[in-house]
Amino acid sequence: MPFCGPKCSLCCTIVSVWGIVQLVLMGVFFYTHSVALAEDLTLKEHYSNLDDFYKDVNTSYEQNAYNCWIAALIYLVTLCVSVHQFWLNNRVSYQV
Amino acid sequence: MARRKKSVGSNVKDLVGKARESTRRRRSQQPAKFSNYVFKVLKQVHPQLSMTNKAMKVMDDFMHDIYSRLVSEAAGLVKLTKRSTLSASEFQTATRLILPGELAKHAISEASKAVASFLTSRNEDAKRSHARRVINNPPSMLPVTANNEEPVEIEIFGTVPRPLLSNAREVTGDVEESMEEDELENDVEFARKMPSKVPPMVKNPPTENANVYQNNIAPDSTTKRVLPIDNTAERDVPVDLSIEENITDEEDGSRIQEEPHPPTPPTEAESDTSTVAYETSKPTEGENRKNTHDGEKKKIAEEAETVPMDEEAETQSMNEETETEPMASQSVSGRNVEPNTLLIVDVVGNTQESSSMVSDGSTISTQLTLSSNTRVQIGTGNGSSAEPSETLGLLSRRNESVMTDSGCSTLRDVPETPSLTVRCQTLTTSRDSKQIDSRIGFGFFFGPKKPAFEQQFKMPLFRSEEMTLCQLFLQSEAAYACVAELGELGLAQFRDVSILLFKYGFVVTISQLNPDVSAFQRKFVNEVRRCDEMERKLRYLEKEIKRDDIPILDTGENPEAPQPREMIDLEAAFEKLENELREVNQNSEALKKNFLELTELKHILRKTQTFFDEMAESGHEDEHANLLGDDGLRAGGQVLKLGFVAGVILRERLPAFERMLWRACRGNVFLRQAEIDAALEDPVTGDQVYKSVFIIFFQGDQLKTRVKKICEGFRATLYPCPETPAERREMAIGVMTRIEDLNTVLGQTQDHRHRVLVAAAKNIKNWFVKVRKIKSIYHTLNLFNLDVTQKCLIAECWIPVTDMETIQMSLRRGTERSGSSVPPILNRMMTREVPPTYNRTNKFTAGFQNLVDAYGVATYREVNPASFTIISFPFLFSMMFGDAGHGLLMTLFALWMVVKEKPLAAKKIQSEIWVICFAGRYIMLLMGLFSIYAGFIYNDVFSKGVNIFGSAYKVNLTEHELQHHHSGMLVPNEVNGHYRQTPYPFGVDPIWMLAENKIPYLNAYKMKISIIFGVVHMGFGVILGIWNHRFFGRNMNILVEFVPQIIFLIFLFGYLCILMFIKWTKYYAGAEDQALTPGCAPSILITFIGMVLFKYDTVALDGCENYMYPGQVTLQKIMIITAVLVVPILLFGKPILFKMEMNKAKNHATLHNHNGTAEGEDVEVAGVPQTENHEGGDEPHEFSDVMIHQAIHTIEYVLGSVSHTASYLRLWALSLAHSQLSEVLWLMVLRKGLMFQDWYGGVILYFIFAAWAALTVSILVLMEGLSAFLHTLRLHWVEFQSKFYAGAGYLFVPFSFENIMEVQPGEE
Repeated sequence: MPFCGPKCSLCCTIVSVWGIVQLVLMGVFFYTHSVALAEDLTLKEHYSNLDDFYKDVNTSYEQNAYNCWIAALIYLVTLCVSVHQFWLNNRVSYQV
Repeated sequence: MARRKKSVGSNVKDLVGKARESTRRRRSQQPAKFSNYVFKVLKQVHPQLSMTNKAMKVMDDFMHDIYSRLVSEAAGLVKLTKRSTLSASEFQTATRLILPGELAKHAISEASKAVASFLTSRNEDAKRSHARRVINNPPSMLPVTANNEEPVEIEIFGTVPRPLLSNAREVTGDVEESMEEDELENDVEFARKMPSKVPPMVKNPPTENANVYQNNIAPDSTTKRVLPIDNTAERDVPVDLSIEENITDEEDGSRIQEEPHPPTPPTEAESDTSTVAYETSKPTEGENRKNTHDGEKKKIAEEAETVPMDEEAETQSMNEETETEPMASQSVSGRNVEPNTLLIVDVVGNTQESSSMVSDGSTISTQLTLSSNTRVQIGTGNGSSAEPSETLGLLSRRNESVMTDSGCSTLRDVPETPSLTVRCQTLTTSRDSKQIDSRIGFGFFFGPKKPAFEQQFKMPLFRSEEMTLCQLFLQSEAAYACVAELGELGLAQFRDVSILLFKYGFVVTISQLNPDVSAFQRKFVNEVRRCDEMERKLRYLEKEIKRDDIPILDTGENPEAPQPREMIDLEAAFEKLENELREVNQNSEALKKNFLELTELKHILRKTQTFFDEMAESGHEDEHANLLGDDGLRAGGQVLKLGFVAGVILRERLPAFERMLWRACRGNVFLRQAEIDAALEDPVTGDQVYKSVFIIFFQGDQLKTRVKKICEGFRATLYPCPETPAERREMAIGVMTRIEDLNTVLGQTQDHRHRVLVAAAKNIKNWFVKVRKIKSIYHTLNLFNLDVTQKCLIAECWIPVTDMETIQMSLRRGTERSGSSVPPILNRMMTREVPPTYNRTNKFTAGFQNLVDAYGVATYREVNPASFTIISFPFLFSMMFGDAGHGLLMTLFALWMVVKEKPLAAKKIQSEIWVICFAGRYIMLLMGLFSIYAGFIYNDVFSKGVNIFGSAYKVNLTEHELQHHHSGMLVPNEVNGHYRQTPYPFGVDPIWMLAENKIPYLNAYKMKISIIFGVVHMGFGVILGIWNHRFFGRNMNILVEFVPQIIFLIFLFGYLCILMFIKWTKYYAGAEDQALTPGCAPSILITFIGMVLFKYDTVALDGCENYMYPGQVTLQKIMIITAVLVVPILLFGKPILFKMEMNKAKNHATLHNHNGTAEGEDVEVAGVPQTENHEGGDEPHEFSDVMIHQAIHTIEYVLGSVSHTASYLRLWALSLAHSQLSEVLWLMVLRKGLMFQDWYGGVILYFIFAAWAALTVSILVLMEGLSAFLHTLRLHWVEFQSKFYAGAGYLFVPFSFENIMEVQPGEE
């Protein structure tokens, strides 16, 4: 049974496709330690030790990459659900 | 069917009959086995499934049944339409009738596909056999046809046997045959003169023959052949021959056609080649049964220089003839003739003697000796085609004196002495005056002249189409069909014509718009009213259909405009439908009312029963007992009898009702009420209403009347309620049975109504289209003028010159369809009125044209900026919207609209925003693509940089900087900087995105390119002005307007751009000479301000130089002085020139007089709003007017150049705003999702991403996109178009069914 309407399911589909593409790519870029994303890392205000700094940077890059991929996975689920909903809606409207 | 045949056979009980029957059965069984096909289809759909024999048999029978039904239905249809032939359309209709909606559509499309593939396969077979034949016959001899299989001789003239023709003329004659035998001698004589011979012709392939003769029905039809002349062999044998189609029209066997003339610059009065068509007719020996004639074609090629033109003409005529209509074309080119003069002579019939033509520049006379059945057609040669000649041809038959539109050609036809003189004189004088006008540059003559360079390169969007005002004479009977054809074509804009001005006995000038004639005085008012009535009925039908939620079938087909007689059928059909529907509605309303009453009664009986039951329970046996108890009643001394009324009232009225009862009756009544649970349907409105049953007990008659009055006041319905339970029960039973009966009747009525509506729903769209077409046709016919004899309708319309042929064709088609024998006449008119602007666009260019038209419709034939807008608009937009990510989103959306174009257009979504977006889908697509490009140049993808080629910087941060998150300044310095000395290959280096000095760097860059592109854009606009000046013959304006303008622009702002380039290239980091280091680079802005103010610093900084190059001060001073000096030229140049020309004109008395007459003509058409609008503005006549006009123009330009240049800085400003906004969005929204260093961060990111995406689309793509779009629009309208574009024209709105259909649904 469709629980969200044709417009809602279409919107969800589009956002999920976008989300999957962008988040997977962002994950890859985080994973490869892209400099452009360095600003998005979570770091402390001040470091007394350079090793700490590097360690934090590396873990942060990796964690962000995983988070992106997790989000992408959830979007994959959303995509499946919304596509299914979309299909249901379409079928219902054909039957009428 | 097979079964029926069988039964017939068995009834006969004849041996022979049985034998026949058996063969028949065998035959019918053979192809009727569908099992194979069923099996095939099954395997296609479900490869694993199989089918039992029995099931197959069922399927087989089913197919049989369907086919036999189809056949019988189709047969019935044929009978119904009283036709004798069963055609495909009957079968289609039958399919639609028998199969349900979607299935029928599918079936029809599949069947047509099958038929088409069958036909193509058959055609291919035919082609293959044809190819074989071609191989047998050498192709060089191929394309001549002769039905009688006799060889035809083709001969060519080497010389012209007409001494009177001026020598610079080329004649191409097409000889047409007639049936007279005595002409044979002539022909032979003629043929003797021909020096060279063509090899004998070969019979043409039979397939083509068949095609040709299919059309050949009329007994005296003639076949003509046109030889495409190969101009490489100037005097030689024509290489190729083609088949001419037939002419079925018995009295009009020929048509003239004329080539467009080469442009004449206004100064060149002469040396123009014009063409004369010449045609003689003669019979040939081999006439076949069908009276088809062989034709011969002669080419007279005298001068080699005219050959290229001839080639053009020939190919043109060839195209037309092979493609569409029977038409013969020839041309005779004459020298010393002005382009707008009469030059076509077409003789149909028999010539006793050769014709002669004299041309001495202004007058041409042709003398032809003719036999009695000869017609002469004369046309004018101003680039149009045959229509004027046809006028004259017609008129000549009436022995009338005629003048063509171009001037005063006279035609005299004296039947006694069969000779005819054609004289043509052009209105040289008035034309001259106009030329003077145009040479001065204040006003122009709308003649067909084009600068040479434009004719060489066809630039369709560069200028609007050349339009011409035409007069259209239509026979009353044919008018409807002709207008219908024009409506399908959509290329003619009709004008309201009332009074035609007659001069010398015939029409000379344009007629007037007629505001005085009200809508009721026109001829076809009645028809229009009938159409309105039909439309009203259709709307009623549509409303009813929509009320029943029946889907309206929209096949998207476009039925042709129905014949006028079909209108009566339609009217009758609609009338019948409407009456039926109204009747059904009335019946059902009455029934429903009845039903409602019964239901209410039922409820009353049921509810009151409970009241009475309650009473019974509480001790009172029957309703005779009083409610107040025995004591109370006895107290009164007598037994009281309580009366009651029962009824139904709307639930919401009940409280008020109760209160009113209480007050009015002083509490002496007792009201019980109960709600009816189920909603009842109001029969009138169809709404669902909730009601309550009430019962009121009271005592005495006075109270009863009072209660009844109150009930009436509250619109409560009272029902008689029997007093005894038995009666009530009986009544209840009666009511129930009646309700059931009513239900069945109501169901039947509803079914009937539904059937009627479903049938109507299938056709209603089609009907709407038809009725609207009829209405629009009559509306158009109302604009026509009825001539005195009432036999002819005269219309005036603007049409594009290039489409004259197409319009002719459709007019002819219309005439043929109406069965009229009189051909329509399309007569080109000369007018001083400015024609409408018509830019032929396609779906791609239409959007850009709309952008331009929104500012102002181009003046007739001025340079149209739309074609340049196609590139410059998306480019400037992308400079402001430069982000590859956002551009990608926009591109995808636009791409979707472009790819799904047809289904989306068919949906006809009415939402305003959608309509705008969809209309601009190609603009959006380009804007998106350009934005992606600009995004990569700016290196912005959702505000992040992309490092594709490897950054050219290597950043070394100190330990301290790292520890405190300093990204540091980027310094392209060799010593302590980070630059590798080889630049990033494309766009901005991605490392700038992380640099602290990113904004200052990008600002400097973006500001500079904004100014550079702005100056280029404006300079381009100024340069486009040249095309306008040259086209309108204002050549002097180039000197007094264009040159000062471009000097002013280039010397000030062009120089500014050059300074930027010098600064970019000269100064660089790590230069050995300290003067070349970035620190010494001067500020461009300061330099420019200093230049304008003549302020030059004398003291330089340490180690720096004051100036960028030697001699800078001198050059700058010269440029400023020059730029200031050109302003007076701009200001006074044009007025002074005007003054000089005025003086010259005054000296030239004759010219002045003619100017006067021209103005006199204007007076005649004064009061016409259109003319008033379009005259004047462009042609200032007073010196002071010119002076003021020019002063405003100058001030506008000079100040405008400054402010417009600054205005282009918006490119930088919006680009900065856009990039900053997208960066902020990333920082404030998406980064919040990346802060969590645990797995749940992913889940949070999931939601935050959705929010970021929504904000990106709504703020950055939609809002920023809209603002960038508007700014781009402004830059085009104000900064670019103000340099050359007047935009004072008015739009060409052709009469077109397509437009009407588009507009109407929106109104609903």
